[in-house]
Amino acid sequence: MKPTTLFPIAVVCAALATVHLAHAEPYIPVISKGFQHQFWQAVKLGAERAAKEFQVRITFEGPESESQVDKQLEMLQAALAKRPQAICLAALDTKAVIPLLRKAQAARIPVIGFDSGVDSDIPVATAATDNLTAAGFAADKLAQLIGDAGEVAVIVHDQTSRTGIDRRDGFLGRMKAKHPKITVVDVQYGGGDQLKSTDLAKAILQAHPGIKGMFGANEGSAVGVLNAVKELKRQGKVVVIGYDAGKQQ
Amino acid sequence: MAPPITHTDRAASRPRRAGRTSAVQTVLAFGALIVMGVVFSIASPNFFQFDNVVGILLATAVNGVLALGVTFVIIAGGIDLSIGTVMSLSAVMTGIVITNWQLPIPLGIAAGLATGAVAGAINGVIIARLALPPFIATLGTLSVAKGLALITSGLRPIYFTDTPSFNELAMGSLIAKLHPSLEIPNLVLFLFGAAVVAGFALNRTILGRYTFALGSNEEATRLSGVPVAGWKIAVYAVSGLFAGLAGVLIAARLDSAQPSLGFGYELDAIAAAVIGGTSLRGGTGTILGTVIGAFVISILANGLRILSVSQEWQMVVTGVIVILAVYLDIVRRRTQEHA
Repeated sequence: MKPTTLFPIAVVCAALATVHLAHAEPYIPVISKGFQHQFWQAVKLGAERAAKEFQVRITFEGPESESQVDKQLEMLQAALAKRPQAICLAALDTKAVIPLLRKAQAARIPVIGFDSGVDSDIPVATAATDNLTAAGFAADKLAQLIGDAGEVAVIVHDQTSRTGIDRRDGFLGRMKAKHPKITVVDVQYGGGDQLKSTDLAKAILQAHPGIKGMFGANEGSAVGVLNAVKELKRQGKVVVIGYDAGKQQ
Repeated sequence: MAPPITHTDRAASRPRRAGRTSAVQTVLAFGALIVMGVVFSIASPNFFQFDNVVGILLATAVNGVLALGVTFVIIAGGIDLSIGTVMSLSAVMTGIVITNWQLPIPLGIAAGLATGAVAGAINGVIIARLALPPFIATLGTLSVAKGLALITSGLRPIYFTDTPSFNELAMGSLIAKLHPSLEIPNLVLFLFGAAVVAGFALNRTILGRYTFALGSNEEATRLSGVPVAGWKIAVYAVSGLFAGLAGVLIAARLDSAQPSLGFGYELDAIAAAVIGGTSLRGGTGTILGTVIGAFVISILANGLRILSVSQEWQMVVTGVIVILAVYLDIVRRRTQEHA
């Protein structure tokens, strides 16, 4: 058994050793909040395009759900271990990442926040969306398109993530404050899953035949809402506003 | 080939009881771990750095504790799919007691552990008394625990900002106090402490004996007059207790109780146990093996990240390695038995 197992191991070692050639270009890991949604893939595309333009090597990673704070910590820690030139981070939980960010600071690795950024003074720059305000803007837009009165519903992706909470509260808060003639009849959570969101949206549409507008708080949710409207043949009667961009929209 | 062996000859030439491992097997299991470490170290100078090794230890802690608990259940011939969500529920309970009700931290920890143990006991009752298959029963409690975690937390994470000493419990470093240059968080100590306790329970207590008995031959155990139902409940309660501990630890580490985190974690825990030599058929398994299995998983994940393997490919590689690791373990055991 021994010689036959040692040989392939030796081959693998040699292969891996040659893989790690010295990289002349700077390396920047990009750690996002998610991975599979087309929204994050769009972010990844943008990052890769910029990487090519500026001659930088990047890696793009993110945990499989926005609640996996610990997995993101592990990614961040592994990224730090690679001694990159900079790190881009969309933190799921600011407090949790601060010890690692301090390590980055001590190692003189600049941290750049994106999406919801990081709520601390360590990042040197941030490119973020203010979810509350943006969702409020969505509320205004929807109100404008349905004549500022009527029934609407919301499909949010996540009850517990920062983005889910902010987008829902931003939308609801704005509706309450500025559009009192609009009633939000239902808020449902589809986990960002298109199929689930479709089913939830359909249920809402069937329960409220007079509904005039729907808001999908992330890409999966928005696609779900669109599917539901299409399947129930209510195009033209229901206005759909979505957050985050995906190809299917 | 060897001449045909009669049944009695074979029994006589196999004095080793199922459940005990030889020193050789343990060394081989360690060997796999060391080979992985060496391969990654050669591939990247960034792998074997102090900070990264500590990172690997941290990453193994929670999954390791979960795996320790589920090892008992698997050895006893069952399975526990609910450990992930029971972990979240326990974390949430700890959060409610410490942050919402503002009770002292030890009470919060007790609440978390108790939640896990009770959930495990409920699993045991459903399986032992209602005779549901463990897969279905724990699938059901997985869902119940998931929902309860969301309900009791009010659909949002519970933060421990007012009680920084809770976070300190996991991320502070006793080791650093003794040896200032070794900043190893306490979470790692909890993992090894839990492993020692689990090892003791499995190898030196009646609970451990009956765990193996249930897994090797439940019918014979029952016919020997052992109250099988009661011991089954105890075994599942142990699994739940460890899930509860994992919940407390992850809450302390992240300084928050995340009610949606945990679903899916049962798979990594079960994989760790199986990679470490715990057979899904029951009757075999060791705590050391489970710990090694947990490290195999976290070293693999970390190594691939250090090598900047893209995330999609990480998933493929991990799956392949898991299959290989379990296969090698089966082959190893088969050659051991025929030796």
